Amino acid sequence: MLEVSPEKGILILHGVRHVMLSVQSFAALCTTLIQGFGAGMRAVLYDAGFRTGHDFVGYSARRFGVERLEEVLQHIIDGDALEGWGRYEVVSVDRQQRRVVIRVYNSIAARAFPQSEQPACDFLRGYFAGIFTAIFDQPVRCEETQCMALGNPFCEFRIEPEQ
Amino acid sequence: MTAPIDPRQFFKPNPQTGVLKALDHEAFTLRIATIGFILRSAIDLLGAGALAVLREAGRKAGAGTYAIIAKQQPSTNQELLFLLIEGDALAGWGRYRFEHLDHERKEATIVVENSFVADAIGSYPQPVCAFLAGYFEGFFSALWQCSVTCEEEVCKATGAPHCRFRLSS
Repeated sequence: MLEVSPEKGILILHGVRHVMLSVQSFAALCTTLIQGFGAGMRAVLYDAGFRTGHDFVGYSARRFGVERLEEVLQHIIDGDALEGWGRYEVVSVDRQQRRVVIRVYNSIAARAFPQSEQPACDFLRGYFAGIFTAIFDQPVRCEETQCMALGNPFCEFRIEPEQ
Repeated sequence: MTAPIDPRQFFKPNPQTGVLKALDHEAFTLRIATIGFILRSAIDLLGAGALAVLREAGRKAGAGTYAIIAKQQPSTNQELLFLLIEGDALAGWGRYRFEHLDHERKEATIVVENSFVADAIGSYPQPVCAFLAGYFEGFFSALWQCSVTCEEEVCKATGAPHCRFRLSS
């Protein structure tokens, strides 16, 4: 899964180049970008998350042959935990209604911004929207209803069909 | 001679908590395409002004990395820079090589092979590694205890084989 090429300075995970950032560097990057670009940057983070999540479902299917919903989710949960994204817990899935509730413990953004005045996980919100848009093959939206950055014990994301 | 860093000691994932640690500090991995999308969107939003914002973000990150490495209590500047070079190489930031380094005069020239910023953004008409330039400014300002400026003289994003940064105080 992990290939490190220190002589080239390249880190490969699942055949794709990755970069490791400290949570501290991520906080510095996001804080400065949001200060510099305002609320528009939050939309950029959401969109980047959406594209990442949407691509990842297709990639998982191609590379690992996982196509069933449960397999895709387990693959994402286990892989992202190893990559430091936090621990995801699927609370409920209603395939018919295309509604999903996910809790995340130790979300990166919540750790980067421990005392935020609003839910902090824009990238992760977009990420889940992208994943379930790909899985359901229908557009969904994702709301963060609880966030560790607000003092909640976990971050909670509600995915539902886009109106 | 400093021994290579063992990746198994460097990366410490905890699947139960979903927290990854590197050099005992919380970290995570991100696909380079995702970084490219975030950086390109920032540049599209604010044009050249984005590079100044990214440089400032890099300064904070560089100062933070210095603090992390200094906690390892390296005995010499050579050992400290070894940890910077090898740690960032393991983290996939690219391979740093000093063409010139003078701690007395507080100046250096660093060549970066496979800069993650240039590789993430791809082709661009001007040097684009403002985040890395700011990163070196933040790191070396902390190391040399003075204000350091860094100019990216050559950038892979403009078609060069690598990026080259000149630091001076």
